[in-house]
Amino acid sequence: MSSEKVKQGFIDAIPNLRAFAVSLCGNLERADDLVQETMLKAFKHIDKFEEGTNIKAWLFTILRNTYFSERRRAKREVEDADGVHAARMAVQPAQHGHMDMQELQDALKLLQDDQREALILVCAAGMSYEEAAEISGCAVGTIKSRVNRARAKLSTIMGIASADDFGPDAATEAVVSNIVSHTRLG
Amino acid sequence: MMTRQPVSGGVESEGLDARLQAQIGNKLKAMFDEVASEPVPDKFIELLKKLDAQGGSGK
Repeated sequence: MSSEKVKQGFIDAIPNLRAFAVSLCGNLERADDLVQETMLKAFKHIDKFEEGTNIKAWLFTILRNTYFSERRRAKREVEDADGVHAARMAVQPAQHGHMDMQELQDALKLLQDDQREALILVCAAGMSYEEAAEISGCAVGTIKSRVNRARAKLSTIMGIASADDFGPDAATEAVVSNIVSHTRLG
Repeated sequence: MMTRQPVSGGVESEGLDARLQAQIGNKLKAMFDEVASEPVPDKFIELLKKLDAQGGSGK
């Protein structure tokens, strides 16, 4: 017995749910499965939703719980795949300067689950630390430190790959100013 | 003096790191918004209708 308002809330939340799911799992098809499972569960437990509270956060919580419980089940397999992938990335830094979406997705996969989730909620989905904490079921301080660690790690992973994104400005500028100063001194 | 080092370490690393952070933030948003701006696929609308019809038996 869902009211029109809740139903509308579901529909309104779907684009964000899909984006959250894709960011988490890195695959649109899998993401849509997650959204579908989320909707099924949400309807099943609709009586647990308190109307007037944040429906988006509630649905995000269901989605991330679904994702992480499945991921725990498949953990070993996934770790192996990530290990292979990490090794490949280490030998083969990006050939081209452009930091594209695939690179970002690949780098995200190398983060710890809890750190990736926090980063996505706060930096991609634009949730407040408080909302992110509610969704992840942890303290606000924990979210903050996860986001910081995720940021630091991501910039290490992507630093070299994307350094060319700053050139011609930054990279060549540095070289040119180096040459210029050397020439002047010499 | 050689300053052509990767992002970690080096005199310019802080400025570069801030730019990298900003860039990563933008990319994360862009990745999210790209999917979030797509119209809701029909299959979800259908599913909602179906679920609503089932759940709302007491309608």
